[in-house]
Amino acid sequence: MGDLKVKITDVNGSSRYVYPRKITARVSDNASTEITLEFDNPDGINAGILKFDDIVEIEDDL
Amino acid sequence: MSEQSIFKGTVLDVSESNTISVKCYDGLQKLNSEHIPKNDGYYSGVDAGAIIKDIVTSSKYDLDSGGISVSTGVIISEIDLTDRTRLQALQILLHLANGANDDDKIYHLYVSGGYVIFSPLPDYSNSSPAITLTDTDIEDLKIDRKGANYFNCATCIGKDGVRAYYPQGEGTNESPVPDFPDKPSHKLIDESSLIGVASCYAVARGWVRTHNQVPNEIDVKFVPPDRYDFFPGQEVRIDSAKRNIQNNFRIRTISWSYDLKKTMGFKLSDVEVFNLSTYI
Repeated sequence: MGDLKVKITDVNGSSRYVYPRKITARVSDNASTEITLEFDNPDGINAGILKFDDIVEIEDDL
Repeated sequence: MSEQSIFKGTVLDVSESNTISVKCYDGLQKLNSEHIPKNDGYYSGVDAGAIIKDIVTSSKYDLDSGGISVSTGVIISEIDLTDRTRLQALQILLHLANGANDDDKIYHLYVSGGYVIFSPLPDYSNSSPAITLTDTDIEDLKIDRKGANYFNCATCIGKDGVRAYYPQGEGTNESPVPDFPDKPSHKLIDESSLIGVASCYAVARGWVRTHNQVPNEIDVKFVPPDRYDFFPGQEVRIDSAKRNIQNNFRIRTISWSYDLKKTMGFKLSDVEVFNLSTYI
C-alpha cells in the first residue's frame, strides 16, 4: 500500500506536511466525506497544530 | 512514484486533550454553510443538472463543478430555492432528477478529488466489479434488512399548500384523494421551495422509487487492498462460499482507517434497488 501523506495549507497559503497517528475516513453517497486526523499532543492543550478552515489534502504515494 | 489525491477538504472541528482530534469535511459540507440569497434561487424551465451546476459555481467556495451532469432531461417547471442552503438545494434537485426522469436512471452526489460529482449511478454489469472479496479477504460480514426505510406511497406538499401524491397518476393530482395501498407506508414531504403540482409529484415519485424495496444491506470488513480509489455507486463482488454469497452489490459507504493496523469496510446494497438516496 502506498503511504498516505497529509498536506496542510493555512489561510495565508503556506503549506506543510503533518503526520497524524491515525486517519479515519467515512465516504457516503449524497453526503459530505468526513476525515478524522488523530495526533499525540506532547505540547498539551492549545498546541494549535491545525486551525479552522485550514485546507487538508490527503495524497496516496503510489 | 506518483501521488493520487484521495481527499481535499477543510478543518471544521478540533478537539484537544492528551490527543488532538481534527475533523475535516469536503466541499459539500461547506455548501451547507451558505444560503442562497433572495432572488437568486428562482428557476423556471431549466434542466435539474444545469441548476445544480449553477448552485455549485455560484458558491463563494471554490468547488470544481466539472463532474456535474448538466443534461438530465428533467426540466424543472418552476422552483424557488431562496434561503435554502446550497447543499439542501442540491438534495432537493437530486430527488427531482430521480423522480422525474423516465429512463430509470438514479443520480447520486458526492465529492471526489475536489470535484463535485452529480451523475447517474454506473450501469450494473455484474461482471466488472471494482473489487472482489473472497473468504480470504473478509474479516467480518453481516446482513441487515431495515423495514423502517421502506415506503410505498408519498405525499409532497409544496408552496401555497399545493400537494401531490404518488403512486396516483400525475394528471389526477389537482384535487387528490389518495388511493392508499392496502398496507400504506406513507412518507410526507413538506418542501415549500417546490412550485406547482408537477414538481411536488416528481419529488413524491422519486421518494417512492428510491425506497420501495427493502434491500439487503451488507456491512463487510476486509483486509485493506493497496488502494483508496473506491467511490459510492461502484460494484463490489462478494464471492464467499462460506457465507453462500456470490453476487455483486453497490457501495453505499466506504470506511477506512490508517495507522499501525489498517482497516477498511463497505456498506453495500443490492444493486437492483434504488434506495441509495437520502433526503434532509
